[in-house]
Amino acid sequence: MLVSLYMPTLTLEQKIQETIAEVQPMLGLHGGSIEVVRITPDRVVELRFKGTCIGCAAANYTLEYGLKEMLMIKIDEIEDVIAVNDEPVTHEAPAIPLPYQTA
Amino acid sequence: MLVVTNLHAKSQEADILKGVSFSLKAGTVTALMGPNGSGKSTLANLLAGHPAYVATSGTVSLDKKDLLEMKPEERAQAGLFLAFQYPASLPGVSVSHFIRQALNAQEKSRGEEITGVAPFIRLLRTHMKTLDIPTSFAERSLNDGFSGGEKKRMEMLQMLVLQPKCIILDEIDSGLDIDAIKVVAAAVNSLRTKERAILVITHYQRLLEHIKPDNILVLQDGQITRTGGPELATDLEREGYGRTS
Repeated sequence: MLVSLYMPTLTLEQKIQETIAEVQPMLGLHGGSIEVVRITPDRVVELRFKGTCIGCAAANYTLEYGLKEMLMIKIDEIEDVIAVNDEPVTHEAPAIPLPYQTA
Repeated sequence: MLVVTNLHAKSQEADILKGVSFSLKAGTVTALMGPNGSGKSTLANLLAGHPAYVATSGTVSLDKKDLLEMKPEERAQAGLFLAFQYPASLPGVSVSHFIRQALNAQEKSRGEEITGVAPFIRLLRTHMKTLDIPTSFAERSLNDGFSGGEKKRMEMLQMLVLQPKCIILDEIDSGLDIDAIKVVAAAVNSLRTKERAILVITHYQRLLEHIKPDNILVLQDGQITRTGGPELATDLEREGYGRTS
């Protein structure tokens, strides 16, 4: 959906939320999601990955080559899109060695 | 910058270019005119490295490097750019992805820092505004379902992003309305610098009213038959290509 064309009267935040809503189901399929943290005064959108996106090796790729491109093309006002996650990686190797790791 | 010497070429066993010689100097715009079937597009495609066209003799050098020895991508990396007469559609490849990959590949070959997604989109938006293309086109598949005018604007968009130093425009005016010609001509004129050489292939003087050439070459039956200044276009418009002296 061409948000900026179909909904020209929306605020910047509303346009971002509408666009993000389009990709939430795709992230949801992988057990993850994303939320908008804030829009900085110089129009950089700060996002936070949630759920299984946290620590996922593909999250950065999703941001760089998916979300960033999509948001910036659909919404002219946006200058950049970054993730501000500071949680530790959740997909760390289990503390107990698996059977084949006994050596 | 680009020097073509006694170039002979064929396509599917037919001899099309029969000893073409000319040079494009940095800082100049050269127009190549000629009737249908004279070999203009063959010359353009051959210079870009289209496999259907084979040079049988002669030489072409770009900045003193043998162009004919290079692969098409090496020619592009060396700064050659061809705007196609009939741009191909690439369903499934977005405008944004296509142009970013091309830009990043050229940057990589030159050992330059790769332009990231955000600066690239900002750059793309600026050039799309210049060409009067809605930003939403960036996520559409390249040329898929585009009108003739939109395809030509996409060629110009690639040219503006890549900033090539030797530009060949193969009938960039075909299929364009008057307003679109002005937009395309403005894009070309914005790249007229002293480091850059531009070859404009066209049938009509109309385009040359907007992109004023420094020199004009006339190609007829695979040979350059006339050369001259901008006034030659007016003569051709009046007299046609019949006079070959």
